[in-house]
Amino acid sequence: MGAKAVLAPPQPPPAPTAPPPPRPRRRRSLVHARDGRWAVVFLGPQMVGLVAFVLGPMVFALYLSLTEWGGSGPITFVGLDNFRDMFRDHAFWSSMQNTVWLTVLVVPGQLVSGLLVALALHQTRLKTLFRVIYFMPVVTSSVAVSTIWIWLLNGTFGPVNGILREWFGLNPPDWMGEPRYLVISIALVTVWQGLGFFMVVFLAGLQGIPTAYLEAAEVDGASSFRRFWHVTLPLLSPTLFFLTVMSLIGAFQIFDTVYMMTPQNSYLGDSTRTVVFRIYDLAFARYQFGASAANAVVLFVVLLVLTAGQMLLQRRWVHYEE
Amino acid sequence: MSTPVSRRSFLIGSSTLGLSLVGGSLLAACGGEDPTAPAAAGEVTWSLWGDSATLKRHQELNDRINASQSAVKASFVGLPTDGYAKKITAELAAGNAPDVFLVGDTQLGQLIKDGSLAELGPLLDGPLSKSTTSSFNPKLLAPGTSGDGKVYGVPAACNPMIMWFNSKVLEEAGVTTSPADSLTAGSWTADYFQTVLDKVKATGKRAFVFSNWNGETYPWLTSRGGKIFDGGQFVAHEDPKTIDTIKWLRELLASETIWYASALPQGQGADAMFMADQLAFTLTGRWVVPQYRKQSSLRADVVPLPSTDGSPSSTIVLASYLVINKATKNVDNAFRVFTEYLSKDGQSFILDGDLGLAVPSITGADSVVLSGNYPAHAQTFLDQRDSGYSSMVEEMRVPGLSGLIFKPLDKYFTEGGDLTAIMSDMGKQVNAAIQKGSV
Repeated sequence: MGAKAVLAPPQPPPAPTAPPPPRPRRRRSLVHARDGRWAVVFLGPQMVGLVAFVLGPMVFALYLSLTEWGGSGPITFVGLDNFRDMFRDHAFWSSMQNTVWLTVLVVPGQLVSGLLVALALHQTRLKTLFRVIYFMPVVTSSVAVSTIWIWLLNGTFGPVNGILREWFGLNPPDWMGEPRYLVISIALVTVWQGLGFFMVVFLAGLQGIPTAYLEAAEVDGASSFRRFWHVTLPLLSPTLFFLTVMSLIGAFQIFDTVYMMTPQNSYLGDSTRTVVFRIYDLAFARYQFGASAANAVVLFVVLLVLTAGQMLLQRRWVHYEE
Repeated sequence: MSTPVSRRSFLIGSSTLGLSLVGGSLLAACGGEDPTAPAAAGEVTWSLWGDSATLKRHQELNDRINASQSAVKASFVGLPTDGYAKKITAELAAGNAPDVFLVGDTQLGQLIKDGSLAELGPLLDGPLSKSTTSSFNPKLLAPGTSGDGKVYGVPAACNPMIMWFNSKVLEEAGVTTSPADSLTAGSWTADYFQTVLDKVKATGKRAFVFSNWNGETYPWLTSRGGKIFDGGQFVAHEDPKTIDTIKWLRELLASETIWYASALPQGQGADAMFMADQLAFTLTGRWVVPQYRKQSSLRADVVPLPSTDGSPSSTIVLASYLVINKATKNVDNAFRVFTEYLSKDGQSFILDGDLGLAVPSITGADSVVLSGNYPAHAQTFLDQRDSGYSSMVEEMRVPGLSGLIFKPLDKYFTEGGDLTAIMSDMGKQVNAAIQKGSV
């Protein structure tokens, strides 16, 4: 007897004119007063932080962007003058270009290096040990990391160039002394320092992939590359998406490494001056807080648009397991 | 029975609670919780930056001030050097800056422009004052003076940038007459200095480490008769002596007679090389005295930079400025602390002994520099303080202006290039920024 035979015969659909059966009234999204009051009490401190350290400064920055202020004197409302001056200023576009270039170097660098190391460690027995080792730069101060790399990459005395010269007979560039290589050096240090974080998150994503899928693909004769490309990578796409968003925002906001690795009063700064560095410089070196805030507002809008774009595009390539 | 609360009510309620707590905290902060907040009448808070030893000495001065009079109760709050300017800026914006505080020359111009400082002229020459404006080198007072001649800041301590020479390195190079003796003989000229540089280079060592910043570049330019600003305008790009000196420095760098500081590895500075007998000269302030004196094998002394005619040249005198917060409750009380600090006694107390990292800005407290007889020609510090010039007022009044000067110079010193074109472009940009009042 077929399976269908044991099933009950299909019921005719209800007549179109018949009223629908009464649905249980869905509880509206309300909380009871007592619970609500306690929620207010418990969430109050969090709201303090949110208002004092996030919303307040954001609103103040928006207001400042419409003013001229030297940091301590009277605040003068100037309308959109700061934005007009900013868009006419070559230095702003230069800083935006530097930021984009640094992002182009850093985001793929962090994603690829993090994924490769995670794949290498995924099957390793000493996973925990390596995870700790790779994570150490993440918890190390950027200032300390930058200082060490400045020495490592010094064109004349640095061990990196020493090795390239002595062991490989190469004629390496002055990493810290030439504008184009200085940007690459900053990107390299940023990728190196963030590697541990990206590796750990990728590793967590890899561990969350059910082995049944990979085993089934293996049984079907898929090569290791095909298993990675058609099974692992799609199932890792939510992790990849999360890290792409994080990396992009982080790359746009790079400051400490740039600040440390760019010599003061040097022409080299023109090639590494990012938007965030410019925000700092305008406010705390030139005391143009209004212009600085205008830059910050534009950076916020750019990041908002980029992140929203990523959220929209993720529907096309991110696969969530059902 | 419980009453339902809508999501909107919930958000409004929790936000209100948050805002009220923030507001309460702010009010509490304004109520005197902050030790650097403006004090009540009769109480004066004062702040400056420094390391722990420096701050400890200032705390002792604070105790002396309180013990010596009863008109005010001084309260000193020492701050770390790192981030000092930002903290003062934030405190001024929040209305809780100290009554009296120290300001670096990079911030002073902006604070004067903002109207954040009390005028000091009448107080300095008034009955409460323990020093008068004539007690200070007028050139050093210029940065603390507004365009209309009102004084808002007085140099609290200063550091003339002086050339130190390493006798051992010079003797190894065959320079048997010390530069200080050459100066006395009137032969410490730019031409003679060139022969000294060549001799040092012949030994395989480099003569000095050159850093491109106002504390080093400007003394080299002015010692050879160059001008940077004149009448409120940037003139270096049109001054042949300035341009020749810049070319000369570039030639010394290109021929590896001297080091360029930015080419040295992190931590490898001129001081370390000088103390290791690897450098013949270094251009620095008095702050190196404690560490040089500790290095017993180091035979070092000071001399002004060589001039074209052999006479003592003038140098830049770096200074930090003591100011009074315009928002202070009682400016007379604040001035009582201010003038105690700036007085001969106050500066002598602060700079005495091994801590002496600077030169008193006031005349009459010279013994702190001369006591100990280190270096042998310590009098040079005092002479240079009296004959020297301050940081450029034009640069102080337009924050960021220095970048328009030193970045193109950095590129030239590093790569060379068409100096005439570089200077011409620099002149246009700097003068345009001066006219605009911002960079």
